[in-house]
Amino acid sequence: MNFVTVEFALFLFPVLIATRLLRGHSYPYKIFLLICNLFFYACAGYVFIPLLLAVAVSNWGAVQLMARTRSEGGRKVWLMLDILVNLSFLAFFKYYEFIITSLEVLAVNCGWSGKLALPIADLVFPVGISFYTFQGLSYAVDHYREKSPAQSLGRVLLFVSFFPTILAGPIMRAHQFLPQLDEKRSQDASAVQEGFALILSGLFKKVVLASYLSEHVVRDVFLTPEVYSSWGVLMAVYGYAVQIFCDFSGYSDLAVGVGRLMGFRLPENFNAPYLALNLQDFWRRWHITLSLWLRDYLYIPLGGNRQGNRYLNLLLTMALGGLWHGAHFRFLIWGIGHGLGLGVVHAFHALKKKAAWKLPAAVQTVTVPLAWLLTFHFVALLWIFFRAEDMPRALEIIRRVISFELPGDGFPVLAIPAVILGLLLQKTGRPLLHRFVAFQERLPWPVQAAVLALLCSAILKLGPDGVLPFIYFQF
Amino acid sequence: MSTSTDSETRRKAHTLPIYALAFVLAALLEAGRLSPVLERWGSSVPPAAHAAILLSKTAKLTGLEVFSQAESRLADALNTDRTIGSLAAAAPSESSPSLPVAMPLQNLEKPAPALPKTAMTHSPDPFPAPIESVPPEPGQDTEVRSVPPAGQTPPQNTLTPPALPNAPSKVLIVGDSLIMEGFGPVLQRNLRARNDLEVVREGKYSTGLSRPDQLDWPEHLRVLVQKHHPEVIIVCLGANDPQDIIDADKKRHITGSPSWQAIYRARAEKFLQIAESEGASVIWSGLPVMGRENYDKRIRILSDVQRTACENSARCLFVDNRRTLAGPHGEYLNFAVDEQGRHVRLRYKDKIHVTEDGGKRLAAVLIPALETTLKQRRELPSAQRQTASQPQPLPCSVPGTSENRTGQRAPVNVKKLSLTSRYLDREVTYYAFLPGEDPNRPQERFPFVVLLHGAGGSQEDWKNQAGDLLAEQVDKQGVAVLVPTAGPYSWYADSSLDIRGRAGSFILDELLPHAERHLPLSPRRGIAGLSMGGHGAFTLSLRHPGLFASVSSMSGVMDITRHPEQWRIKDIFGPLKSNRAAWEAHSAFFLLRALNPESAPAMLVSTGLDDARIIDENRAFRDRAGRLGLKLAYRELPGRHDWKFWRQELPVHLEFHSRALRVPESAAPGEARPAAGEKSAPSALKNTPSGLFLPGEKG
Repeated sequence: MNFVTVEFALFLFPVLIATRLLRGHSYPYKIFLLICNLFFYACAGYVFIPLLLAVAVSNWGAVQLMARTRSEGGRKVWLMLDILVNLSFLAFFKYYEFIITSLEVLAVNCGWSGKLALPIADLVFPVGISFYTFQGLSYAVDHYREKSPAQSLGRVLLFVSFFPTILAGPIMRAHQFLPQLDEKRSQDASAVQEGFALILSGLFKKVVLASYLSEHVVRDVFLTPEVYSSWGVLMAVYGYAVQIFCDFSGYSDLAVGVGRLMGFRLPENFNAPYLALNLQDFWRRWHITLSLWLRDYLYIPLGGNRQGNRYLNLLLTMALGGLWHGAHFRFLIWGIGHGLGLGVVHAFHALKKKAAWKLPAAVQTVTVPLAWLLTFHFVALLWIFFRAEDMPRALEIIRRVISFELPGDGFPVLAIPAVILGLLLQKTGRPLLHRFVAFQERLPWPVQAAVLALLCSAILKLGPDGVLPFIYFQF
Repeated sequence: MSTSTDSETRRKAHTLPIYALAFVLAALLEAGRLSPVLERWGSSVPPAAHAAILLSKTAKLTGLEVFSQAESRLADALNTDRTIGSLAAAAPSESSPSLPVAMPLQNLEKPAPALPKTAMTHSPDPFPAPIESVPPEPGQDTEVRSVPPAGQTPPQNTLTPPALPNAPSKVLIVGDSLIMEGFGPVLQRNLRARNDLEVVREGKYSTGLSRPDQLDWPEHLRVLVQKHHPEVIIVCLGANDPQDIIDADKKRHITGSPSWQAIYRARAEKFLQIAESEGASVIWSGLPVMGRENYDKRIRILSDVQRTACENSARCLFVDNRRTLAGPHGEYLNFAVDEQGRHVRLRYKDKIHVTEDGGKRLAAVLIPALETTLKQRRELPSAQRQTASQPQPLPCSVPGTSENRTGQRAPVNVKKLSLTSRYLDREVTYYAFLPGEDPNRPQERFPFVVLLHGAGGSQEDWKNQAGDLLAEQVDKQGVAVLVPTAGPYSWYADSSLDIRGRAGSFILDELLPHAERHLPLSPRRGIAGLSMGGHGAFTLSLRHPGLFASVSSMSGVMDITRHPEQWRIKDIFGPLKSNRAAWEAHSAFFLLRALNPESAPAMLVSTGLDDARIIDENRAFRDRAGRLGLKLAYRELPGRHDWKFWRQELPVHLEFHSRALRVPESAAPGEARPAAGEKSAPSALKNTPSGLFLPGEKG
């Protein structure tokens, strides 16, 4: 069930009714929420309910076993086992085909063509698996690090399957989410207003901006770059940078907003990423919950800044982060590109610290926009690989952009305001949201509803008829 | 975000009432889009239909509809289609062979070495290229063909058009998501590599002919045609169409029902009419087999309707892609295995959409069709274009008449042959009655007649009941006769229900190539049969104009739709009621309508006067042929549905075929046989240009 559907809007009715009636009663509310979660996930593919249960059970079980084990070594064994189980779910469903086809290519290159009869299965992809296995793992690892207490199976399942976040995050931590289950206080009006505002913001980003850019600019250029002029391709590259932000942050806004309506505070996933002045900054603002997850559960165990080679750790973390998005080499290139970029930034900072030089203020007025330009374009460049259909076309896009005068089709005029708006949202989005909430709060509730309905229908009118699937649902 | 800490300002939240009110208001504002959705739900959840009516009424009453329309107008005003940043190509010398672009395209251009042999079966090449276009006959268990070693580029002439001094031809590609992704982009990139074409692609997601409320394709096409003025329009539509049609009177037509098919066909015909309104030719790319059974069933019905619409139109070619992405038995495949044993994904996980690798295969089938269409358009003045599908006169190697040969030749040679059929999934044997060799004419090749048996029979029938007569007539007429079987109740058609019952494809794609390769036959073919065989002869030849030069029926079932419960016909096509399109697409009576008099084969029909079960349809067939101005020899004489009658008619029929096959057409006097034909006779389909467009029978 996509968030941007009538079905979901209807589904929210019973959820909100139950929130109002049952929220004070911890036990029935949890039961109801669990049913909602399972129903919601079953709509995406009921065959994967067992998988979801398995993820919950394995993490719950590992924690139970760890809680009963005294020795440090024993606890570690249980944790490793749990990680192995969860990652093998992920690997099996996400990377099986990739691994098999890669092996086949390897076999052909080694001259064993045809001799390798590998079984290939057509696996349907369980939507959200990357997100909820990571969420489940964080619970087990946190417990191992003695940061979170053992929980009952029901609570772990609730945590893993929470429907606003199950499809594509934000990736929560157990200690962020579980305490909220037990809160008994009634909802507060401004949080609810924020929820509504976030939903509208998500709708606008997704339905208006991301859909428009995808449909009219980006998709076709990435499919057939040869047809487009240098300007057309350049606009598509900018367009995709804005589209993926609007798509994913729009989704996150919807998820967080729906959570707000239900009285939950979910972690933020985006914080104006395209305002970043360097790559390190970018990763503190882009897909924050994944960055933090990778930092806490991959980069730091690898040794982080202290142990081993910091640059190698960065590269490894980002490369794996790239592959997390899916099984092909262009994601790897994207990850490695970011890893290298981050390495350069780290090195630069280290150098700056050592040299202790300080730029004069006058120079800084130049370097700030320069840093912004450089960061944004580096990110946009790597997005090309992220999005491209294959390597020749990724290179063709780059060739067309840098050669400036290749003939072909252009781009629609409206792409310019769409891209500008998408970039402006980084700066103005948050203040606008707060102002809207403040404005709404002064109105009586029926008027609030009317304002919301009006804006909602205006947004839908600006969008296309069908809504495209969210990009991050495939990861 | 600052949230709940400031407890003093905390007021009670009205989450639910706000949400409910906003929902209702937004629904009213969006009534225009929401009520059709609810109407659709109405089929499974009746209250939804009431809600739809209530919604639109309330929207009207409250005046919100007017408001909503104003909003829409405002949104439209903001919209513009203007594009900027287009760059025209500079001097042609600079732009054309820009290498880095051309290189990936080169790879696309050849039908990809990754193509498995079976996929090519359905795309016989119009321009035989010496190496690659040897059609890999399925069901062959004999020779191993030389396959170009990996890395060797097959000759490019398959795609290189004749040099053209004129302006490039404009090709417009239209359709739904298959045109937006997967197939369309590959096709466009593939065609763009050529200088003689200008290619425009205009697709719309989630559209089709079932839902004019979403997009009225015929009208949309009119706009596109007036904008681009294409010479050729390539269409791929229908994946979104297996859904109920709600007509102007709000009446619901269940997917696949007769009324649904009628409406769909009318829409497809209107679409084609508009497409052809400015003189463009249309190539309709049929849909490939789909992965989910129920959906596939509907797609099959829909494809038959599309095909019928195309056949009724003057300038539309229907390219059957049912098997293009399918396995050897027509089954759905997610992966193909290439020559090196690597898996290549053809379909996305929804089991509907095609990947680019799948798209390459669809393009490889489509491009030859486009090639031929373009060639025809270039060669023929516009007035004659309609007759372009006329069969090319076939080379015939047997000049002379029957009289002067009888004395010298050796006795008739009866051979029993067998082949492994993939379409029937079993070993099949057939008999060949060959005229004895004439010592004065070594290596003589004979025209031949395929003689089909009736329902419940086998290849032994004709041999046992009339073998003597057959031998005598073969000798006398100098034509060879093949006596095959495709199963006792095969109806010589590809069953929609049984993938091991694809008798039509068996005859065309396996039997004919096998016989023509192993026997001294010339590719001048006739086809005849009794009862079910008469049906088979006529349907196979009418569905594949140009493949058979003559066709005849004795006591034939000329219209299967008159026998919904008889002779197990419904085991092949499913119940008539729900599969009318398939039945009509395999009824000689209905096929007659789509037959172009110019391309019609020579036709003969005989019926016994006491054959009550089929005499009416034979007369109806005769009358319709007369009305359509088709030449048909019709014999009605005393007799029943039995061997006495058929033995009596056999000599007449063979003489009829002999005459039609052995008299070279005036247009083809000096035509030489293709050089390759001497050693390995090319497959049946290859020499007959019009056979190309029905690559394989419908599944």
